[in-house]
Amino acid sequence: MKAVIAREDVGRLLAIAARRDELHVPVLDGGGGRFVPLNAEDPVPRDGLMLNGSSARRPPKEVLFAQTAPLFAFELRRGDFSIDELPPEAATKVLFGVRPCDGRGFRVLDSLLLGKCGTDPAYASARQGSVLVGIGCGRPGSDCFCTSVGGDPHGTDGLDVLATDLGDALHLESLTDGGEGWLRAIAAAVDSPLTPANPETDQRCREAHEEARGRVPRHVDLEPLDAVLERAFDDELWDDLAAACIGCGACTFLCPTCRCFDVQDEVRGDRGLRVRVWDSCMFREYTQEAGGHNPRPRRGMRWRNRFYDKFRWGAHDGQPACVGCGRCITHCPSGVDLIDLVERVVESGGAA
Amino acid sequence: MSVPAALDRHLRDLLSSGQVRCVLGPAAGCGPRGTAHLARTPEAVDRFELSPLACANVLVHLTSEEARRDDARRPVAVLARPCETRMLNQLLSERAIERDELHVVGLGGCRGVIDSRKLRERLPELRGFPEVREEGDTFVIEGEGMEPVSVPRNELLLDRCSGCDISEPLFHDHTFPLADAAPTSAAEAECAPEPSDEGWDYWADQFERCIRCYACRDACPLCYCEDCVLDRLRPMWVPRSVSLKNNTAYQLIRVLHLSGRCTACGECEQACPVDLPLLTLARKMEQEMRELYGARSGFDPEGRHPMSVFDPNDPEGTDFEEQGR
Amino acid sequence: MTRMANPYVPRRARIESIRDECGGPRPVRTFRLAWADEPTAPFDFLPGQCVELSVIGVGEIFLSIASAAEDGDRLELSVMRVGRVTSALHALEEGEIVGLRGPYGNGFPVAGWHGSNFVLIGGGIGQAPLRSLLHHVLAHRDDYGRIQVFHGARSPEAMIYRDELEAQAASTDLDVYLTIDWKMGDDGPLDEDAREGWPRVALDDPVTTEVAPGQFRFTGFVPQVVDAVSPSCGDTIAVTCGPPVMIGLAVQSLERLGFRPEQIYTTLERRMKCGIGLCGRCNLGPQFVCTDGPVFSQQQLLALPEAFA
Ligand code: SF4
Ligand code: SF4
Ligand code: SF4
Ligand code: SF4
Ligand code: SF4
Ligand code: FES
Repeated sequence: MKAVIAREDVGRLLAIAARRDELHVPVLDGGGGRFVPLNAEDPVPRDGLMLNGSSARRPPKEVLFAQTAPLFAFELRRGDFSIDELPPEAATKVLFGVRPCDGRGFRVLDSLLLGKCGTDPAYASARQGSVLVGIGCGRPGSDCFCTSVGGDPHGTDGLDVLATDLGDALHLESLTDGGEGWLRAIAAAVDSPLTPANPETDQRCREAHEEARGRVPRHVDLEPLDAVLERAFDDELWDDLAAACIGCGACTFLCPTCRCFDVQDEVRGDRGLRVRVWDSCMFREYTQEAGGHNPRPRRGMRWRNRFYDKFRWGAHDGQPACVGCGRCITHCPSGVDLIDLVERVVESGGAA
Repeated sequence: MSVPAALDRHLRDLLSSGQVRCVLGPAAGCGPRGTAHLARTPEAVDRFELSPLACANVLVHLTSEEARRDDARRPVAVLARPCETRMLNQLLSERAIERDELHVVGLGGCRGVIDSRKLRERLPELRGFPEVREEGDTFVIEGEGMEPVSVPRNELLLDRCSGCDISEPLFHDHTFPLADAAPTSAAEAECAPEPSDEGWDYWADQFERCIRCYACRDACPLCYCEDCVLDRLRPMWVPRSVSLKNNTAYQLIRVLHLSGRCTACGECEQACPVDLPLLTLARKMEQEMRELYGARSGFDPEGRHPMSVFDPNDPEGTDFEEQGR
Repeated sequence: MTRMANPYVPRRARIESIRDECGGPRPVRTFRLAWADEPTAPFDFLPGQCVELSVIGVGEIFLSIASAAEDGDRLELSVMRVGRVTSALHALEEGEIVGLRGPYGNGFPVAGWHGSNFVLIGGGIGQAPLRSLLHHVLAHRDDYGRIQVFHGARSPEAMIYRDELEAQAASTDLDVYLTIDWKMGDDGPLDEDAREGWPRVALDDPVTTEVAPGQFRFTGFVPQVVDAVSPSCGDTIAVTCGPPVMIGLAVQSLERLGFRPEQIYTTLERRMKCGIGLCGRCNLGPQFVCTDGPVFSQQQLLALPEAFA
């Protein structure tokens, strides 16, 4: 289904969406933006809504893969304990305003967290039935390179609905059954602001897609990379490449496809929670064993792990696990540039 | 060549004579901002960049685990702006580094550096590393395929530079004047920030946003403990889960561990991926230390630290005496 | 052991008994467990598989099982006290309840090893998964050929399973080669007294250190003992587990003796969290030690990054 909505009516659409499901939208928050829940009775944050311009600094990953998630609750007794399983997420989550790269990011997360070995129940229940309403990027951010990793500023992979910004209106198109159901339900609401698409809006849509593709600012040729990575693991180059990195992990915390986590027990009195909390493979402690051994003691080794994970090991469906959102580049405090690193790795030819 | 010829020659000589094992300094990073660069060979000196836009957290690399592993004794040369010599002083006073491991190339006549985030916000269409000229009270930015743009200095200066009161290195082995150096203008001195008196609500809003990536700690040149209490699991001082309570505890521990040592360099704030105003905290702390103990970190390489010495005249010393101790 | 809907939730297990295996700064204790709610329900797993053991309120650790499924409704875990969770575990007493989930990992491919001889090479706590394998093999003694067990420790006091191994050697068709570090004990260099009854490996001499039938004692590093004993590689599977340095040198020794990479197996250790391939912590390149391992053949490891780190 395709539909069009006037720009000034987006607030009404969100109000309808929020009445039906648990709605999350990207807003400016003083820290570059993130997704927050929007209740039906909340006023839609007019200036703060991040639907034009570029992506929210914090990817929507955290809505479905919470940074801190309880795995279960427990109660301690003398020499014993009991466990309370927590009820799974019931509400259907709708994420409105997901950038296409972040939509693909969920595909990567699915492959990691609903994987061959195990399933993370908290992610699975949050993901169950979720509707990802994407918004194309008319003005890609300064380090976006989605088109180099198989994406597009209006890419549809991973999304359920794609919205295209036509300036005075948004053009909405459903891409999956879930998206179709959601869009029909919105259209069927008594106060629905949706109007049918027409050949003219279709045409404007295509033009917007074409134009945006040309505006993606950065590019990198990944074609030669895999062959080099095949040889480059034991190369000297990694310590050099990571020389400016301070190991802060900001890149992994902002990445829509990183999923490393830690598990900890947090107790108050005789009750507690076992929680999973995001962690980062850029930290030395990440692989530090209690006995003292650390298989990845140097920063260069940790960088190498992240790099291989993004471009070789984590790849699925022939695409890298990096979706080209550019966040790790823009927000690295040390000016480490992933694209520059790809190029330097390729240049090195894996000379080992 | 990106640094003045005389400096270039000096750095190459240091390396080729084996006097230092490497040179640490700023270089152009990705896009319009700087990165730290470590030159081990004379050829690698080419990459250094002294443009006010090439501002990077250079000193954190002196005390990092990687640096400690590097063959220890031979000195490192550091290209240091005046505020960075203050940090070096602080590191020396803590004996985190030793004077004979260090060859300080001070950069004199500093008028401040550009905050690349502010620049990006001002000129989002900027690509690559632009030319920057200083003309009076403006920076003239010449980007790839762009007309030159003039921006008032105080709109782009890094927060730590507004209100900075040192323009010459506090000490050095060699010094070089930065090109175009001029005394700080009156207009700039005026925009020195007032220490914040924001209340708890303001800080709660900020800490709530923290994602506990620990970048602020990892970026701090003074957070060099090999075994940081914040990583420790036994006891776990701050639970890992992210909540206002835990985030606040995390920040307070971090800040307290730096009280009296922090030089308000602002690297923590620069590193924070979600823009917490950490320099505001740092400045507040600096101000308190000054008022309470008359102490100012980083001005004396032999300096004793107000928080690690006992003096009966300390404000809280009186309390102890009254209690009969 | 069935997997529950929430794979992170452990089941309650009761500590039936606790055995001190060794003392010193890193003591080892063996915990014998039964399911708390169904004390006669069996534990079903392969030798070399692992479990996640919880001291609820403190945390969870990933451990190789030290017993074999032939033990039926009891499971044994040998735990060295090195960190937070292991310290809490050592403080528990018989009758107390811990959390248990698993089994995890691949385990040894014993089904394909019928008829083989075994060379088992362990150091310190690394002997635990080898014990699991040994118990399994001894329970099906007729299915396998010659068995040679090499086991090293820093000092006689730090050696786990010593009595059990010597008893097994005395009662079964099994050769046991025990060795202690020739220099270091827990409190510094060992003096002659402490080495009483533990002769030096004499690399050029024939082995003359049999203290009882099938029981040999040495002073030296495990791989040196392997060199000295020179087990034959014909129809033999070698399994080694222990500190990375020991594994590396043991593999070199085996290769010198003619073992091919597909005959050599290792169980790897990494820092673990989830145990089920989700948290990303234990990766060796694209594989996870917790699910694809912990047992790998040398042939597999040669193709995996960081396998020898
Ligand atoms: S954000 Fe930059 S400095 Fe921090 S860990 Fe990542 S690459 Fe290193
Ligand atoms: S690696 Fe960097 S560019 Fe790629 S998806 Fe992650 S944050 Fe985005
Ligand atoms: S990387 Fe592509 S899809 Fe992602 S924000 Fe940038 S332009 Fe949009
Ligand atoms: S301002 Fe921040 S980074 Fe600088 S010394 Fe103080 S706490 Fe450390
Ligand atoms: S850098 Fe910012 S987000 Fe990260 S821990 Fe520090 S304050 Fe929190
Ligand atoms: S322990 Fe979590 S992936 Fe292996």
